[in-house]
Amino acid sequence: MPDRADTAARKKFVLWSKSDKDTREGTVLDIDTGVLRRGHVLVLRSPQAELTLGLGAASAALMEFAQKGETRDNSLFEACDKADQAIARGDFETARKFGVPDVISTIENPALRRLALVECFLAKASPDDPLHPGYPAGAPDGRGGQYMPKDKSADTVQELRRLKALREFRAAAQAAMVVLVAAPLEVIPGVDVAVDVETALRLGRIAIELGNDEKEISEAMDFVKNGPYSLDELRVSQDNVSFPSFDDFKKISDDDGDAIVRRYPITGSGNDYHHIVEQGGDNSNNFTPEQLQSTKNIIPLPGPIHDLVSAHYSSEYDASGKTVRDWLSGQSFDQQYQYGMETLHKLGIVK
Amino acid sequence: MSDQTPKSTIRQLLESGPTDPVLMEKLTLLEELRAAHMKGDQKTMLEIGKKLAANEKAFETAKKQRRTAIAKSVADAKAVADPDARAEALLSAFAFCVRETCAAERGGQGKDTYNFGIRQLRTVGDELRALGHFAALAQFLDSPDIDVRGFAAVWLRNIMPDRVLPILKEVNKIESFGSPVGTQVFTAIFELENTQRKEPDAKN
Repeated sequence: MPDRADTAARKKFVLWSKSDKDTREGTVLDIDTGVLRRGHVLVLRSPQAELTLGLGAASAALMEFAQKGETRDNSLFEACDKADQAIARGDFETARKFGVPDVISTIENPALRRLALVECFLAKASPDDPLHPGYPAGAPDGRGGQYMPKDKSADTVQELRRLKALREFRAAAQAAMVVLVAAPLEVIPGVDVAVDVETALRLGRIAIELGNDEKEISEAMDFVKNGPYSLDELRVSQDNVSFPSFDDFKKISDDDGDAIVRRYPITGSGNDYHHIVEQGGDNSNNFTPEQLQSTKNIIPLPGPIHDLVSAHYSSEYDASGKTVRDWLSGQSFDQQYQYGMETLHKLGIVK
Repeated sequence: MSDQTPKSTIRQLLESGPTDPVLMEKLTLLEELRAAHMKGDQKTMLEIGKKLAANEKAFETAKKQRRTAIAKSVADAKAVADPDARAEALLSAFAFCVRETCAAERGGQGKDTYNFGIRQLRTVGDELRALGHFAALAQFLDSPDIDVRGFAAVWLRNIMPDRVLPILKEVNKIESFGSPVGTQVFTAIFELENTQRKEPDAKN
């Protein structure tokens, strides 16, 4: 079906494609390649018109979305549609939050813009995108827009064959694996190629996830290897500073250059904040924010170690029918703090 | 010069201990998926995705079978008519549940399966208590199986704290943080040393 776009928009679209050539072979969108691939939309341009062609159910779904905005309850299309609607009403800030580059917002032809959005969202899950590798914007797990780490192979961990550390991290690694496979992969069709597009996206995210875990676990092992640390070394501030809420703590700790705290002083970037006395459940009612949200109670930990501690707290304890977390919530603040410190000591993190 | 690809950190970690073969197959598939993704080979990715789906089903089936076996061992023991024979069967079920629960955790079958096993152990404990045979769990305090020994010590901590505390500490020295029995033992020691002594009447 023919699809016209003005010259300026076409130029902008080519600009967005980041190709210095006139042709581009994309994840689902090909421009002037002269080859119609199954599952792809091919845009053929001439000075007079643009011709949009598709082959297969996937491309039919793409073209239907492009031309009519039909999302078919497909989460990928729905995310693209939200971004597209934001652009249509001039809400470019929201579009940016979806990870959409401004140049796509300037494409005036709605059909071409929607195709560009699909391509953008898919490309952001692709490792070969030199500018925006990583999760697609709007990813339901909240990782949208996060960048994919470069693949660093595991040769640096060859020396880290300390049995104790390996044994301890097996649980974290396995937990990560369980999370990885939690996606409903059984819904992989053979004929509905439109869903295959989404499945490929999901599989791409899982592949990226594996790379992220690889990097995080390597860093966590380095962290353990260099421990144990004194609590002072881990704390973001030597002063006892309290905050009205965790958001306030994060806000200040995330403000680079702020003199109050040292963001991730030991552990580097990409870490979690760990509450030695947990902030949720009964604790949120029994203790004040000043107790829970303080530089004494919150320390940064590498993600896999934080996961390991959280898994421990989620274990049911004895015949109580309670998790360790629930059992602890009946203890005083000081006892919970002591338990939390002993946990970190047992883990080899704190001296 | 070797062209062998170095093992990933996750693979090294998983291979450092007993691991479910289905889980290892999953890792292999994920690694292949990653390689296909790096090449932008969507056809291969989808093929691997189908294998991953089959693997996931096999993994879930294995989890379900393990839970069924755990639950059946307890149900069968509870169904024994003769009280003494029932107590014996419950003690056997206790040891079986401990081994299966720990194996589930080590094999990566998740916290939910682990917690399911703990709940079954609680049922065994309640039944033994009702029969007046709870203290018979002490026969496991000398077990060569550290998991069984540790769990029995945790279960008995309130009625024989002085006897089990040294056992708990011995297990805690051997077991690392977050291991199936280590989680229980670590918390039990803390409880005995910091809580129970303040409440001497809180025994079973």
